[in-house]
Amino acid sequence: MASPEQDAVPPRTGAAGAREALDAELLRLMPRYQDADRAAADALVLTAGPVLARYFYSLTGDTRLVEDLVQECWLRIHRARQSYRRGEPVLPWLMAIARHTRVDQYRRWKRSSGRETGIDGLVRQPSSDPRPGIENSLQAREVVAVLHRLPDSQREVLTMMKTNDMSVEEVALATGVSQAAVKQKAFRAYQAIRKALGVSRREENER
Amino acid sequence: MTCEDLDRRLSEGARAADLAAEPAVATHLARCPECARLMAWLLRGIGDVRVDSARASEIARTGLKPVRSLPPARTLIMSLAAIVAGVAGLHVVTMGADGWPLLSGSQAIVFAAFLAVTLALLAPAWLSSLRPGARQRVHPVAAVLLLAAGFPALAALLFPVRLAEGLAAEGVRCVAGGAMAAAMASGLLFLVTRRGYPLDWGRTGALLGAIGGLAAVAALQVSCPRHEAVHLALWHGLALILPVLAGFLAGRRAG
Repeated sequence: MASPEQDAVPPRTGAAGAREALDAELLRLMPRYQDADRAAADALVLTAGPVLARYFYSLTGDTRLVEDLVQECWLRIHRARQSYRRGEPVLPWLMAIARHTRVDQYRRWKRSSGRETGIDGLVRQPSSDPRPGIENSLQAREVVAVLHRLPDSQREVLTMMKTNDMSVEEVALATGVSQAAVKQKAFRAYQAIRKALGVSRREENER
Repeated sequence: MTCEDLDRRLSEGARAADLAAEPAVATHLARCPECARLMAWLLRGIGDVRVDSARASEIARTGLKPVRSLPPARTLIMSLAAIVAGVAGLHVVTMGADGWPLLSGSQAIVFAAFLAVTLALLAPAWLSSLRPGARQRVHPVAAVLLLAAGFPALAALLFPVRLAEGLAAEGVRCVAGGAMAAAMASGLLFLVTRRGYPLDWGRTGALLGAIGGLAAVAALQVSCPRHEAVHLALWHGLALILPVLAGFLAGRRAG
């Protein structure tokens, strides 16, 4: 008979372990948030907040915009909390709301500015906003600068996969497309990034 | 291992750190500077982008009351079926069933099968619209288009094509009665939909309109004695299309 030590699954480490811990924490907190547990609401903000902030920063490259988007997103999460079905993965639900927050914000921006540009028009050059509370390292800016060379749909897929470590299935659920479409977008994105990194390298060498 | 293999593995969801640890990949990276650059970029994180969590907590705590989670899919489907059947039944009770004896067995079977199939496509599309991040088994636009295009086509195939008198007068009556039934079904379904959180209200509104329209054409088929292809495709078709358009416009406005 196997001992309990032998039966125990060793905890995963690194990115995979962190993702599993995040999923477990979100699964624990969401039902309590639905039950109006204020401590769970605070803990959920602390757990899911960085995920949302990374997503918005990767897509917009603007720390001021990230603050607004995160707040708007929490407003929607708060209103939508009854639509979460207990026991189901939380991250695709959260990211689907985050995605629509950004799309709606772009639509509002387009209406108010009256400009006929694509959603890429919302993307700014990664800012170096020195405000306290926002860590905006050179490395982050470099990563985001490369992401911003991609078309929006590819950037979105890659952002979810890279910065939030989401699986193809989770990205498909969050974006409402098939898994095959996610893989195709990611494949094209990786090829485009190769080119972008090549260009960055040449630019650096020329300098 | 080639550069394309690496892109494929990554796009299938393999983690860059896990891949870099594989001997075949490590060998390839040592030879290919382009892939090595890509891998180095992927392994770089963007770090923490910290935002004001106090404000977010305040939002999450505002008016915090216990909420009931969305009912299971089976309950929602049963409520949808009850609404469609109830409204269609009510329409038949008030408008009569003059059309029923005029339907041949094959017409009744094919027509009922078409409505059942389209309802079976609209129902999962509606279900997935209630929850953000839900699996989308049927695309809502495809389900609505199938109903909107399939109904007139089926009418032309199953019923005689002839222009009889009173096309407009009786047609308007059918459209009015159908629109009323569709509005009632869509309205009741809207009350159920509000339990969820549709992200795209325009699309959800069109879906609600299509389900209401389906209830309307089912009821009209039983109550209306004019079984002519032109009358069915035009006037009953309008009783189907108008709720879809109204639902879409109302949804976009509300969203």
